[in-house]
Amino acid sequence: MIVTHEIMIDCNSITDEACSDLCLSALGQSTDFNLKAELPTDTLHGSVSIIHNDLPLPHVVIVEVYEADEAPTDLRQSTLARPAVMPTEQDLINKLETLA
Amino acid sequence: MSSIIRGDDNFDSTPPSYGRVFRNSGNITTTSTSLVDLTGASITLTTGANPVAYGTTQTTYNNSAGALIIYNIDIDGALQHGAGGQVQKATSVAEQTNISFSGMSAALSAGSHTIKVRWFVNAGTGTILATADNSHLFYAYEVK
Repeated sequence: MIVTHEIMIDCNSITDEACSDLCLSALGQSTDFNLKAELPTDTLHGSVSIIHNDLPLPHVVIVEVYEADEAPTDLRQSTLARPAVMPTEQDLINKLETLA
Repeated sequence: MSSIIRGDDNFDSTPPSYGRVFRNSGNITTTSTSLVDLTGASITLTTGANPVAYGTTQTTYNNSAGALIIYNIDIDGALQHGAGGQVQKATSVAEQTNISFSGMSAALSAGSHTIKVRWFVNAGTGTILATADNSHLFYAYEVK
């Protein structure tokens, strides 16, 4: 599942990585819903990609949640896994909107 | 009166198709460990039965030391730089690196083709700079 959502965020005072981490936290980043690898061998349930536009343009946040499990490959050490509790698109949008 | 002598009466005199995506604001980040589109870096060309040349100029970094960012070019779903791609390794945290590259496809079929940049990280957060000082450019053109 891929959700693209535009949201007004001012991240001029923080780095783009910190802004990305704020979005991850809002989405419920945890071991049960892991969207960012700390280590290449982590198990991930999705990812977040962001265009960090400056205001008055909105940030464009693309959240991907894996719907099927995928074992590591020669090129990717991480395991991709469907989360035990699959969020709805509206769940994800509502969580991102807490940042506005 | 000048004349042009050539051996092919079916000579294609139409100009080559080309496209260019230039971004100088709004850095782009990803945490994906599998290939995803680099949002916005997509060009659709209508070509003859010719190759397409492409290139991207970009300054990037990963905020996790030792982590990788891997880039590839996708033409109609076919990756052009192997199953992985062009690799940048962050030797230190957030070390900005030039990971510009170029390439050329084999001859494509005549018709519409979508060429795009895709990328992923193996850990951490990957960033591509798109600022007035460090712009991002992606281009593609038909070779004829």
